[in-house]
Amino acid sequence: MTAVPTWFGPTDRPLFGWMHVPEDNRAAGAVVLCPPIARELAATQACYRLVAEKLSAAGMLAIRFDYDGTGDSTGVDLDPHRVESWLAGIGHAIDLARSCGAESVSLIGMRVGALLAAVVAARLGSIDAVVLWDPCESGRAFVRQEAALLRLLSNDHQGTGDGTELPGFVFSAETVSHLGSMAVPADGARPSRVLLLTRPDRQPATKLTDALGTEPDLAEAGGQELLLEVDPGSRETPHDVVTHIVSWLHTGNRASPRAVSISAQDSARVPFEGGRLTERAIRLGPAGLFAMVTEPDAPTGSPTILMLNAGNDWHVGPNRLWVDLSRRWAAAGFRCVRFDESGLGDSPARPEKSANVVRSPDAFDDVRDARVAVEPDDPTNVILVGLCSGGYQALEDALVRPTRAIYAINPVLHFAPPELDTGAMDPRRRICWPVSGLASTYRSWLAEPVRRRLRTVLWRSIHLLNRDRGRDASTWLDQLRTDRVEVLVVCSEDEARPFGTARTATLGPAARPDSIRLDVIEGLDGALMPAWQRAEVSRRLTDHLLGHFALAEAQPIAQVASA
Amino acid sequence: MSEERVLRDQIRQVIDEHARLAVPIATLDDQADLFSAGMTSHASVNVMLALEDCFEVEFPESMLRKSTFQSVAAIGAALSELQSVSA
Repeated sequence: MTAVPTWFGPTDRPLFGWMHVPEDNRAAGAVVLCPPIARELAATQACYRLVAEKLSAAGMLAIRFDYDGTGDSTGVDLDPHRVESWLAGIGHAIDLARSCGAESVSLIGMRVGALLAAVVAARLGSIDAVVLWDPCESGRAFVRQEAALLRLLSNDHQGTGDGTELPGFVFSAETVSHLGSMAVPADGARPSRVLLLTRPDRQPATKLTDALGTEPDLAEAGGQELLLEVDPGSRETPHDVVTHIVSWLHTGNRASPRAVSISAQDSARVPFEGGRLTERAIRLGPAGLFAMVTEPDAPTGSPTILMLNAGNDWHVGPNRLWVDLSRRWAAAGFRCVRFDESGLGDSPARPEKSANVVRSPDAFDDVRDARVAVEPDDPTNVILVGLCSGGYQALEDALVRPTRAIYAINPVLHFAPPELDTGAMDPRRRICWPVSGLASTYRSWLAEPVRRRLRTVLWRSIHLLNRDRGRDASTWLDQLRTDRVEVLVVCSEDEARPFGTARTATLGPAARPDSIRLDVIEGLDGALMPAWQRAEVSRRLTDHLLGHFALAEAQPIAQVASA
Repeated sequence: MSEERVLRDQIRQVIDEHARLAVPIATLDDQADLFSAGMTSHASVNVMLALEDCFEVEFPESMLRKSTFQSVAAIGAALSELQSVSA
């Protein structure tokens, strides 16, 4: 099977997606995958990729894509007409499938994606089969659930005063209203077949299937809580459900295999803040890592900005922050590259390695390959940007190779490296404090306030004992200082703790001018779920970038929006 | 059985089905911290939605905080407040 990235849809607002083509370039129909929205989109990216790969292995053309304002596609949350643009996006993906020569088209949609797929199937007609995977009860129920989650995740919720805030995203009042009123048209077309997958602890969405008018086949949507309701690093793909969906589509497929013609567009002119930027899908290094480059029109001598994965989130970044920053910084003259490390997002795993391994030691090779690919004449001329595991990896990499700057958000330095499951810790890890199974046990048994107090005692003890001087932050920060690496770490009180004595030296207005800066923001969420935190972190990074690296002729940068 | 006891039993039933605790709810008293017992923020939203279905109420924004769902007793107090307002 082959996965081909492409821009498609309206030239003034291009969408980004992938065509998964069967091995022999012959497909028995096509399947368009309609993703969930907001936080659930990132949670299901790897799962959707697996579904697409299995569909193409079963002889169908699979199209997965990002709605307008999501993923790599054009636009932002607060643009008008979101719901209609998402519905139109499914239509454009169907057109793409038909332009390749697919005889019939089916749809798969999960959560809000299922509601959107049902509406499109009823509006357009000519849809063969529809898979409704754990559909939301309604658009309104989805917004309520997500808004409640944000409040329960963060007790000090500050609100944006501009629409409804969900974890990681903000929807305008218009979007909330349109989601609430979205319904399958009463006199709509009926798809030939419908598969309704329901979570074991929920009631089947019979109102939705009644509106579609096709008696559904029923199945269980097991494993949704481990896909959608866990931390990014703990997500599990429900393999049995994926297998069932592919088998159901394959078994009832009446389309005969026919040759498909694939024509991909690897770059597009993306509108941004009244102008246009070029975005290009590329592969990096011998491992073929996937990356999206955002380029300014006027070439500059600025360092290239490389953005790393956060946990096992894909290259669009935490809550799409890398897309937002790429476009803002490219508009100010910087070339930005957001990429997936091997086995994550849209990049293949390295030979004989597993996919979706967070904090894999292969990240050392991935960042090295990415540097060489984007700056072949001077791989040191890069700024590395990362959050959580990405922030950690950026700091590690700057200790191995000269680097212009590091922007590390909430870098996690104490964790259990995955290679410890089978052997020793990778010797390239210089700043990781390995966490043992004992620590996991303590996490599961003790309440957070007690854990916080114990952590403080632990870190003080570590610095007092100073048994592993090389891993002490003051030691490796000194090396970065000597190597003239500009370092900006933005983190919560918790993540600042490992910086120990180095932290006090760089905090506060009295601190001496230094290439190392540590900004502590009280209560900073690990994944920057609240909008004000994303805005604040974006502002600090952008100010630092423009203050240290902007060329005289750089364009003034737009103020970072609150969303 | 008192009304309060019936309410607590219904709350416990919802928690049992939706909170995904690390220990059986029957082993916890009404004041026990559900988050310390393994209920995640995601699970607490599922508990909230199930409580709304079960008791035909809607938690207002002002009640959407961890303390509202911290324990069986806290949930009981919140539901009593909502039911007294709607009565």
